[in-house]
Amino acid sequence: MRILDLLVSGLTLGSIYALVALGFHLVFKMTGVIDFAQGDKVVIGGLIGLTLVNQGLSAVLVVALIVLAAGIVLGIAYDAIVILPTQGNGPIAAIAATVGITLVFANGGQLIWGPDGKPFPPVATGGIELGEVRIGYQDLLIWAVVLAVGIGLALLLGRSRVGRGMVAAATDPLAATAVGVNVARMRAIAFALAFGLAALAGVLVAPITLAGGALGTALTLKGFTGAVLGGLGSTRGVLAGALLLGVIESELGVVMSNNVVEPIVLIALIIILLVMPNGLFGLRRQRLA
Amino acid sequence: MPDKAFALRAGRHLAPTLVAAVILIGFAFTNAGATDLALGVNIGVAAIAAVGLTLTIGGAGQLALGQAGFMAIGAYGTAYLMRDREVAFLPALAAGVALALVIGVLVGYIALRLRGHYLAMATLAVGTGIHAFLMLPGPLGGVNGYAPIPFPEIFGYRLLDPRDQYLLVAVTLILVLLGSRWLLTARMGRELAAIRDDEVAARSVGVNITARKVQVFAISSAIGALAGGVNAPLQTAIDPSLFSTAVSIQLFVMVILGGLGSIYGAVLAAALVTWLISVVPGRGSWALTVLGLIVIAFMALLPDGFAGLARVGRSLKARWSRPGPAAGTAVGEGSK
Repeated sequence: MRILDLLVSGLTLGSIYALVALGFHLVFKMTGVIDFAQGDKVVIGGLIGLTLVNQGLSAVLVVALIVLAAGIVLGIAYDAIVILPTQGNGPIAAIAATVGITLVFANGGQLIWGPDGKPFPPVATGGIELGEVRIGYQDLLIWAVVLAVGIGLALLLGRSRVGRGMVAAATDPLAATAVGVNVARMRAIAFALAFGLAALAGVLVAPITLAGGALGTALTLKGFTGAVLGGLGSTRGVLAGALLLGVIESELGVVMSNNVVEPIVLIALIIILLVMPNGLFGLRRQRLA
Repeated sequence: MPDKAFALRAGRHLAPTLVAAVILIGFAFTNAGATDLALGVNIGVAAIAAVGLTLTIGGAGQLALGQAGFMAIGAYGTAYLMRDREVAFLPALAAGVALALVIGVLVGYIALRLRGHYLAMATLAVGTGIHAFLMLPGPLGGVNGYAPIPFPEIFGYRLLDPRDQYLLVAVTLILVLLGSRWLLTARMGRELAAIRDDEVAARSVGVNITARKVQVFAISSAIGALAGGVNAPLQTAIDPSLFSTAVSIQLFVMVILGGLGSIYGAVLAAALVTWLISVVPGRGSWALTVLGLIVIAFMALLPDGFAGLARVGRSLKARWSRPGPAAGTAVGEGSK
């Protein structure tokens, strides 16, 4: 049952993309910026996790929570240092700043942790057998995390006061300020969540891909592809699109070599952007030109 | 006197290129060692590609992040024709550049429909896609690269000496500078600037936006391919890592640091970045980390790069030498 096995690995891959894509979604909704460093945040998260593991922390949950917390702190700093000062200087400034920070993340990470990928102990070993399909605990854990994050975000944005403030600040910052929403704080929360989720994804993906190395841009592109496939403006759409991308990418491995899938996904990104910029589940029509 | 005006304009536009030419050619005769000349080749190649990218980003305001992909097309196209088809250097180079021109036209059509962040992401995907394509095992060698490429031969003269090789790159750079300078000051450049500043206004005064955007992407890609194609036979071996996304981002940084639209700024920034990467130990990690921070600082303080610094200086000077704008408003109020 190769197809079902690939479905399992595809869902896992898609879950990782989903954590990256949700970051794109949050940041885009709040600021209209597309963050080119989103994938590099994942790598940084994995490397922080590796440092914790090397310090002798073996409990997975603790490592994941510390990395999540570190990511949230870094996200607030990221907003204050990279995004806020360059807002209002035009789109080129915002893009160039996030491209600049990819250099800092990628090369700074190399300075601290070395240029090559490092092996990362598996978060969970073993698995369960369902008929002929084997699902590792690692996969189940990643799915559970994405499910929890998805439900949590939906509740946060839809039900809580903070979430409504974020939606208000994203829709109309001026009006939101007038009714007492602290727009700057809402932005900081969005960036904190984006970095935190990416860092969490880093810990989860590190046992599969190695921690560190030159993965950042690939993850940025894949996460963004998943996000626009589902529709960048919709939380549910982004989740569905990322999962779908993971599954499709994995299943394409049945008919062709993995090397060939890479360029195909990139071509697909361009076609999606050109042909259906609102994605499959986009909320409303938006023009990219 | 139209002739005098033309001569003045031509002179003003030629002067910086002449200075650049004297410096670039002069370097070859300063008793530089083989290592220095090799660094000079790398700087020159990066500068050519960065000047090409400047036309798109600075000239037309279209964000492109895939220039290394076009360098790869030029390099692999030239190398394949020279080694496997035994074509001479110049026709092979022309064919590689023409191929990039065609793909640049396609990217130009993408740029007609996408803007800002989306265009940047799409061009990043183009560059990364070309890199991923070259990584495939096949006649182009995949990860292991493509070698050996014969040394270039121009009209029967083989460029074996490092100084000759440097001169080839330097002359190419000077020609690219001349061409770009001409392009930016001619009607095309004005129309591109109009598109950059306000597309609707540009359309209303009759600028053919479709043609200009497609042309600028094609030209910029062709210049990138020229950089790759000139470099490939000088290096004798090429592999996909020379054209990775990281290289595209470095070229983007050169354009940003060069002042978004200044081709001489791009050359200086190319020299700075390439030199830093080669002299700072640890594969340039330190240098690139600091450069990333500098880019952020630039975007926060001087979004126009060093060119913006000049403007800040000019406005300060104007304020010193002349009464400030407050005097003007007072007159306006008095006449009311």
